Amino acid sequence: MKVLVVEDEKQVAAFIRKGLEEQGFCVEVTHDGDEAYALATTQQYDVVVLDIMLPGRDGLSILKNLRKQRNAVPVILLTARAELDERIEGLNLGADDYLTKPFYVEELIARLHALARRASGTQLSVLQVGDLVVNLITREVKRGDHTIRLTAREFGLLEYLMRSPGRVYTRTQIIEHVWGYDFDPETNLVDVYIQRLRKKMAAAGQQPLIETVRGVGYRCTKL
Amino acid sequence: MTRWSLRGTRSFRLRIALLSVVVSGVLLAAFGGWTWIVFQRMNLRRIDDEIRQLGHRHLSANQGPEHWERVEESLQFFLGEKEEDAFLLLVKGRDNVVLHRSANWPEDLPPESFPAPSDTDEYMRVQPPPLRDGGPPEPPPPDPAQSAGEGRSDFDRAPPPPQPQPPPGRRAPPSARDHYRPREDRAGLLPLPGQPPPAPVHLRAPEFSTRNAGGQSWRMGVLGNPNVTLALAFSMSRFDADMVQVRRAFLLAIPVALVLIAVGGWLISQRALHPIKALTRAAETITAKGLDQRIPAEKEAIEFTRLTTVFNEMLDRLEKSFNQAVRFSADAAHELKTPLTILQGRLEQAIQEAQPDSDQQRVCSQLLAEVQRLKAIIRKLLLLSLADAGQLKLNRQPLNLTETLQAVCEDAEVLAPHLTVEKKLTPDVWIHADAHLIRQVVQNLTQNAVKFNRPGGSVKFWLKEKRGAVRFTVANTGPGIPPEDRGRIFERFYRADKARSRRIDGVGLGLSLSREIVRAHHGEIRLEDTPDGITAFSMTLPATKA
Repeated sequence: MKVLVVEDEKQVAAFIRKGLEEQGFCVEVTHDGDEAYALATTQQYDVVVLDIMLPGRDGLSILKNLRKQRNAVPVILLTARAELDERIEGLNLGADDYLTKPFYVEELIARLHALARRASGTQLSVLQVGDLVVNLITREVKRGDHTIRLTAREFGLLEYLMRSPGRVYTRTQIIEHVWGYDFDPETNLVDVYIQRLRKKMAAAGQQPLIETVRGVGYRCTKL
Repeated sequence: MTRWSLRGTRSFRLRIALLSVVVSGVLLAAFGGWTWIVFQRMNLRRIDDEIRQLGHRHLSANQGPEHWERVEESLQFFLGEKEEDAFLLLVKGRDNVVLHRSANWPEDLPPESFPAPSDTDEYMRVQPPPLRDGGPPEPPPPDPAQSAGEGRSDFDRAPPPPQPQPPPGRRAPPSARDHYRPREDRAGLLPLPGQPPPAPVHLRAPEFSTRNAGGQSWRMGVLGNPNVTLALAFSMSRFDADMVQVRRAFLLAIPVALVLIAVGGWLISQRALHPIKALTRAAETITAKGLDQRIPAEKEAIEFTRLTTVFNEMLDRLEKSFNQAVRFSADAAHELKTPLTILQGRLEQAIQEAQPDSDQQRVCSQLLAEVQRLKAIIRKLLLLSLADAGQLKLNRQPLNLTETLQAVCEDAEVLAPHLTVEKKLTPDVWIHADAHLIRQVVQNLTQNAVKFNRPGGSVKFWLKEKRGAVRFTVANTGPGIPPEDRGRIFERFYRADKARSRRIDGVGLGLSLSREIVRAHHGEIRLEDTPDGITAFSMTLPATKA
């Protein structure tokens, strides 16, 4: 999958490139708005990751002109401003998704996957690791033939870890994603929930699927 | 802004009306008093002049008692028969001899109290008043004494024929001789026209006084020449009656005038305050959210045009600074977010790349937690500054509050296994709200309830829907909030326990942000009155149909 990343902050662009390349994306990076517009109109990309504040042409005007030329390439906007207006304006102009800075690369990867799925028409509503199957639509969790009953929080936690098996998530990241920004990160909330989740899953299967990364956090075993 | 109410002296209108009444009341009273005094003085002077003229005329020469009888009778006629006690006359000669005394002379005014003429008195040379020109319309019959010879003084005139003494208390009818004298011709007692000017005489300076005698007051003049002392008094009763009428007119007119002025002041101030009212109404509609609005220019009065202009200019500056503040916090947030994005991305990357279970991985994880804390603070500050500017935008969606709260209660149980968690949640309560922000409020309240609890305590959750309002209450046991701090807990950077909470929450922004969020949803968050040892917060939001 070929991705154009338009981001004027070189360091941000650098870790985006690195994170995406690790996941097997083919990444092209530009720091300038005019250059980005030239590239987007001449080359074929599967997704464009577009920062709004850019030297030269700004992100929104690039997007506007692309859509004017009936260029339907999926676009994910990056914005530092959390104001609703800008998001809505971006979405109205034809953006497919947006991410507010600071964002985790992992989140960007998940959105890119989702966009690619939408573009290819395959709606992937099921996550699977080994014999653990999670249906995101019906919110049904099965291990083999056993149905596991999870609370809303447990489900959210499991879904988050299963999105990128093998990737390490810190407690902070987990809290921020599953509980929201402002939850106190110095609680043992994550650990308690992980224990509960393990207990419920252990009753249904042998293999422990959630690994502890000592002093850091957790990850889902990559099989 | 204060409304124009009638309560107390707060009403500017009432004050204007009262002030106009007080000012015009004082002015009217001063004017009335002054007029009254002037009127009284003028009257007295008129009476004095009459006495002086009469006195001088009759003192111009020495005359016998019969002359004084005549004077008395003519006076009696001119002052009207009905006036029983219209005047008094006393004439004393040398050696205290009473030459004449009116029959109605009051007992309590002893003739001895009037000085007899003496040589030691000082006399001034006076030219008697000039003779009258325009004589009476009907000329008097020729007086034998007058026709006897021109150039003779009154003193030389033959005395009139003696007249019968009137019985005491009653006056004799006026003589025919006096009868044809016109009423206004009181000064007709003066010598008749055609006579030469009398020779200058020596007279004592007249003394005037107002005296009470015989049950009424008199204006008394005491005059004299070297031979005779003349005390002539006119009754003040008619004059007093005039003054009473004047006073009555004033006493009646002033209150009526004051009432009219009060009503007028009230109406005028209403009219005058009309543009202020319009301004107030317009200003009331201008909130932080509508700072672009302006007050329509007042065209009627130049003073208010200026006021409106000044007000609008102030709004301009306000809007500018509000917008600047909003833009500043947005820009600041943006500037902070870029390095945070880099920091977070790098740390995330480092964690993934580091050797599992290495120190490097642990350090990066701790740093990532700090980044998350920074992000949370920046986000709260940005939200607060947006709320201040009235720019807190809500991404409203239908939200099942019961489900949200169930998850939060679950968290509370996990967070605080040592606490008893009770919940009474009405199922399927839906609201139309920004899910993200409302969740934050609920979490903030819940975390506080757990954080500020006592060991072995409890937390209770209620969710009720009642009369179009959704009410969420969370109560906890614990030391509670000191009464002096109850009013301040929603302030920014407030901490109930300064030493303790620093470690826990970073900054004391949670409750103030919660309040802004709930307000933006047209709801209310407040600290409930509870007994000691229990703290309860409640959040009320408008309900929507499921």
